[in-house]
Amino acid sequence: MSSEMTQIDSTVEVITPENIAFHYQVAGPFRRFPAFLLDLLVRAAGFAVIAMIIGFVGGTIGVGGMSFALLAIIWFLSDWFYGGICETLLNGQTPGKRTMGIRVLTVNGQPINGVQAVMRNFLRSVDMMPMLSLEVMGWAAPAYIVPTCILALVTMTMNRRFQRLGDIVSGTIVVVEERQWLTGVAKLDDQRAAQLANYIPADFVVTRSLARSLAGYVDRRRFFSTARRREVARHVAEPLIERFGFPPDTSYDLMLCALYYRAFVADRTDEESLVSSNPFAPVSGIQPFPAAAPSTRPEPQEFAR
Amino acid sequence: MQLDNTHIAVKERNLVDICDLSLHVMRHYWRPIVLTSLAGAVPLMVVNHLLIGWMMDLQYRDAYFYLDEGAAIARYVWDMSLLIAIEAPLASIFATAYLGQAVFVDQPQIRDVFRDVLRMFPRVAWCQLLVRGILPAWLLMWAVPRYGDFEFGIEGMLFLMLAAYAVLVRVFRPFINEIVLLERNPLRSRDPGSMTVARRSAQLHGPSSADLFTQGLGMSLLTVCLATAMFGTFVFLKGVLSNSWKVTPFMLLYAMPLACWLVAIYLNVVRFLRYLDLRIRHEGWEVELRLRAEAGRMAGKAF
Repeated sequence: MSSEMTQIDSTVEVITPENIAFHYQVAGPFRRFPAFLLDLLVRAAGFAVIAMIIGFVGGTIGVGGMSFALLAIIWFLSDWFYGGICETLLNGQTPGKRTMGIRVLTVNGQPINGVQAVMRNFLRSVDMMPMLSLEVMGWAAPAYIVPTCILALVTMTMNRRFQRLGDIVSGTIVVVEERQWLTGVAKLDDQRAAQLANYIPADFVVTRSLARSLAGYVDRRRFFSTARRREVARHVAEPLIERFGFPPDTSYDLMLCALYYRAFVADRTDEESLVSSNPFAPVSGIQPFPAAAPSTRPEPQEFAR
Repeated sequence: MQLDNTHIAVKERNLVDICDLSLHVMRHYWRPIVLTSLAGAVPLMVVNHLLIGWMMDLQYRDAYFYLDEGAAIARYVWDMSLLIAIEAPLASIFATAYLGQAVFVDQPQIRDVFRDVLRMFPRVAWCQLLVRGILPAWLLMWAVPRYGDFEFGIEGMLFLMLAAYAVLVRVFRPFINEIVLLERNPLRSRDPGSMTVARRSAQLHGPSSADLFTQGLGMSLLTVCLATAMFGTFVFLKGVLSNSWKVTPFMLLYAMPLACWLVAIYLNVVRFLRYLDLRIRHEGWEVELRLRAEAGRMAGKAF
């Protein structure tokens, strides 16, 4: 069972039978197409090698006709079963999908089984419809071999999980295997931020949403020009400078850095400080897994007015 | 309107993710997107038909053409596809304005969108019709003698150069519609500190020219593939329904431009999302939205 977020995004929420929710970024047609092309290349290269070997052996022992029959069978098998076998053996991935960092899962977020893998790959030929004849390009004989893939594109557009017909029939989705880097508390180079933070009234409450906004700003500010920092920071800094009675020429950027320092550094508990000073130290008590660096920012302390 | 709660998730994405997300946006807003895109595209379709529709006019072809059929078709496809390539951004002005509102507003009123765009139309006309070569393209096509032979000087050289210019300008400066219609910068100003369209365009596009060029190449390839696939689908449908698989002049006259315009509608959504992405990457737009929303909340509390 799965449900989708209301905001238009390529992320879906998948709820497993154990009632655990995961957010996955589903891979759409344009992310999946390069993987398909890579697999086509892998198949073509493998087939060329096999064809050379069979051709050489067949020519040597004088069974050229048999070689063609054998090659036709190998092509048929690779065409219909390459994807199914790879996805079964490689846990929902083909070489192309692995290279592009995507994986096939069931709609419940479980690994797919062999039947699902083979089924979704069987239906690929339907998804590639309509096929164009080479006659359109001036070819004399009818040869419907040019896939337009419009059926797959339309089907994937019609549902939020970017499922083509093969996916709908076999109950699968293709997700992006994202590895996100989670950063700890940003380091503020400007020491004046800490000094200015001392002047912020003790009764000022940094709310959760403000803390999130400040974290976003401090994370990204190094990519902004000075003018852009001023422009972005002004929205929050200007009213606060006025409220705190700071000099009107106080730097907006510095004001937000000071607020950040106040929310994430100055008000951290001793335990948090301990963890940050030694990221490999166990936090406390029994540690079933090796302790890792803190992956999320601590929430700011809420002060009473 | 809550600035940090947009209807389209605002975050950094790569080009393939943007192309995928555009399909979601198309599905969600298909009705207004089709309506606003048709409002922009239909007049241009009519103009194109008036300018070069005669090239597929079979009634007069035998009398006037001394091109063979293949050459006549190639000529029409060449001229029509270049015309659409030049005109596509102009056709997308209403859809762009709609999408700009749809990011923040629940149900933007299409009537308001039209009114807004028409108010800004002189700026759009200057940027698109003149600077980006649409009017010169129309004049060139108008100068081609009707029912005459392929004019190599006009159609082969001048028109190709104009199209190349228009496409290159669009590759390096793709977001002019967004700057004019959404950011609403003036065309010119006496104040040297004022952000005019040209200054804003240089500021937004300048630092990421290399990225834009690479994306432009990718989008061009995608355009050709999608337009071909779409036209192929029309041929297939016609073949299934009529049991005749020949590409007729009627198909070229109507289905070919329709396929190109459908792709142009989709690519307009892609361009809009690329604009958001560029602003996020280079200007921290999502950070600014969050801070502005915070400022609004703080003002609401009135301390």
